[in-house]
Amino acid sequence: MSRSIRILAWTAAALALWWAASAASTLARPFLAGLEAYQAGRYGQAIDQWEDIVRSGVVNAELFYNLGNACLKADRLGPAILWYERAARLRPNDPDLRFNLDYARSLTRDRPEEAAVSLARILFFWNYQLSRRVVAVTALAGNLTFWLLMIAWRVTRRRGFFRAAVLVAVPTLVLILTAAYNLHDDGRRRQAVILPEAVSVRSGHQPTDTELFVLHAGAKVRVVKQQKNHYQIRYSADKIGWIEQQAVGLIDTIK
Amino acid sequence: MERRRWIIGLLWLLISVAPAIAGEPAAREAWVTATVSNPNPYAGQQITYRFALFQSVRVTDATFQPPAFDGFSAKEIKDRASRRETIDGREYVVTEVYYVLVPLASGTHTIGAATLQLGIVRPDRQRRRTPFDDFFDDPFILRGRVEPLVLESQPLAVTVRPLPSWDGPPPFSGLIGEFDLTAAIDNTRLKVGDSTTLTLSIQGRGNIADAAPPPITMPESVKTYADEPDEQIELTADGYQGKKSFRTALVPVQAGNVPLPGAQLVYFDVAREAYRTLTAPLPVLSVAPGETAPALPPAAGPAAAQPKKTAVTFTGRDILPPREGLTALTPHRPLTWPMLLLGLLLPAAGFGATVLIQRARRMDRHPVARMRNRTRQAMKTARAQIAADASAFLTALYKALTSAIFARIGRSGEALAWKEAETLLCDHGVDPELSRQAAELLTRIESSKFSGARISREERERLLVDTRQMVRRLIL
Repeated sequence: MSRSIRILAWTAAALALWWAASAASTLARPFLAGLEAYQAGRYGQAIDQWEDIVRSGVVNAELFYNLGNACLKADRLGPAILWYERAARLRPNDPDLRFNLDYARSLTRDRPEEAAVSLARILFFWNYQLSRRVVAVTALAGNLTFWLLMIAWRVTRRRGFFRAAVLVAVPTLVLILTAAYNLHDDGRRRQAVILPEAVSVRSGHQPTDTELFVLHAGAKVRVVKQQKNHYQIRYSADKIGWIEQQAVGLIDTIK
Repeated sequence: MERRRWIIGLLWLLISVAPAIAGEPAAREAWVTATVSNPNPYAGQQITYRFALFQSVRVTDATFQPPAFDGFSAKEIKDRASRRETIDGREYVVTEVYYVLVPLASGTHTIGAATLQLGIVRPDRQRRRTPFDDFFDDPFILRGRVEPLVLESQPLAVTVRPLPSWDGPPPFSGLIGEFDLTAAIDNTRLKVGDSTTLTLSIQGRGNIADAAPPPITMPESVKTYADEPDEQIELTADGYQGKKSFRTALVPVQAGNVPLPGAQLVYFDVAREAYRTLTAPLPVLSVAPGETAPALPPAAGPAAAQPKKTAVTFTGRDILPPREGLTALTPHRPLTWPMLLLGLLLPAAGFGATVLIQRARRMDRHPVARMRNRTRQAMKTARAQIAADASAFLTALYKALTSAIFARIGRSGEALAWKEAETLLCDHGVDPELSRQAAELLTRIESSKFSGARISREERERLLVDTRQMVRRLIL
């Protein structure tokens, strides 16, 4: 009985390994093909290869960074900034990414009007210095440490464990609240990037509605509402209007 | 002071006539004077303020209060001089204090009176001289009375003249005084990229500390790297004087003969009361073609110069290359609400489980729980031994029944007599009939156990059933 169970377990493990290896090789092929195309200057082909990988469900900052590079080289500024922004959401402190994103932003035509440094950025500096994943993992690790210390205190009744638990509790609580806020914010805040060279932002859904202002490729906007196939976007405090959905790329949503 | 020279034979006799001084003895014993070296200086020209104390008697506790020097920048010369001088046939000790003054603006300025407080030591004539006086004849040991005295110098009026205007093409250097300019080059025969040091030195008396390097417009074929100036300036009774040297590394970048323009310095000469232009000619550099391209000046040595630092700017713009590692295919798993809550609650659940386990263990330590547990174990043993060992069977039954009785009364214990068991059960509110039946069963078990008679299987079965029922009635 136990022997047959062992054989079954080994078979399952081997199958899982084979599946993982075959999946990796399936993805590695288009990835390397994309790299080869990029090096050869066939940026459109590289974009196609890498976007196929993204469509298969891979969410990875390095892959997004490569896509940003390829789009930028292909003179597609809007999609380039969109992919860089998506990568920055996953890995905000990557120096290469920051460099390329800054370079791409320097090519945009619309000057950002909102102040870059807000009070929240000063008060909750850790949330802007660390990636969301690091905040969440640190919060969970702190939570685990706290409860392990509490268990140790409960078993041994040594006050040192309790004091250590209280010390760990304060920063852990801050990080847990930050991680919870980030999760809530991810679902609420929707940022997007203008994709075409230039697009009219109108007062309504119809093409005949008044053109309020024009945004250019790479401009970052906030999506306020969604109706039919239009988004109501906000560029700055006094610049709000409607735009076609296909003219923007949502940073948090990958289609 | 009026001085006349008389010739008597071959001797020169110098007769000094002291200025008229008030006739009081104290005034002749000590007085002060204040003078300036030039009462009509130009703005920015340094002059010397001299305060002198003349004393023919011993003084002590002298305290000097200088004037305010409004309209001047003042710097005291720390070296105070003392000398002896004979006036009217009387020898005086003269102590002088000097200040270097620089007028800040033109106009008439008054230097107020300087004050000197001191005490004149008068010998005590009433005290008899002792043989030890010669031994202790030390000027620092006062033996007499001290007569306080306050001396004031006369105020001085200084009329400061403005500098005349200067329109010359070489700019005015701002220097006022008497100066000289020299220029020297270490080596005039060079290769392209070699370095040589040009030294321009300004020396003289005046505000030399303010001297800036004389401007020289070098040809484009020579690069220049300025070094920190070297100063050797001292403050004397004549004011500031010394030398200031400016070194510049010259690096030719083209071969050929390179004529260098002369260095020019315009300053205001206080002796001539006019502007003066100094020129220091520079030689022609003979530059041979170098083996390498023009380079930076030497990194060390006297000719070393600090290159001017500039901000690094982009010379080209491009993005950094793509990532080539297969880590780009590792999926990023975003944190979701269930994952966060699970991660938060699992350790808390572990803590809760620990608390529950601890409580359960504490329950086990309670006498009732322990006795109940022992009852269960003993009944199990009895069932196992029913066909094997009669003694072990009866011991287990006895143990089960006594443990059940102890569990019922909430105590722990090992042995009970039948009478004691009945009494304890009744005392703890157990029905008397049940107490009696329990005591009877205990008697039956004890009798069978200690009589040594052989017990049949049926009897054992009966005892086991009765004990099980009694245990249930007692515990449940």
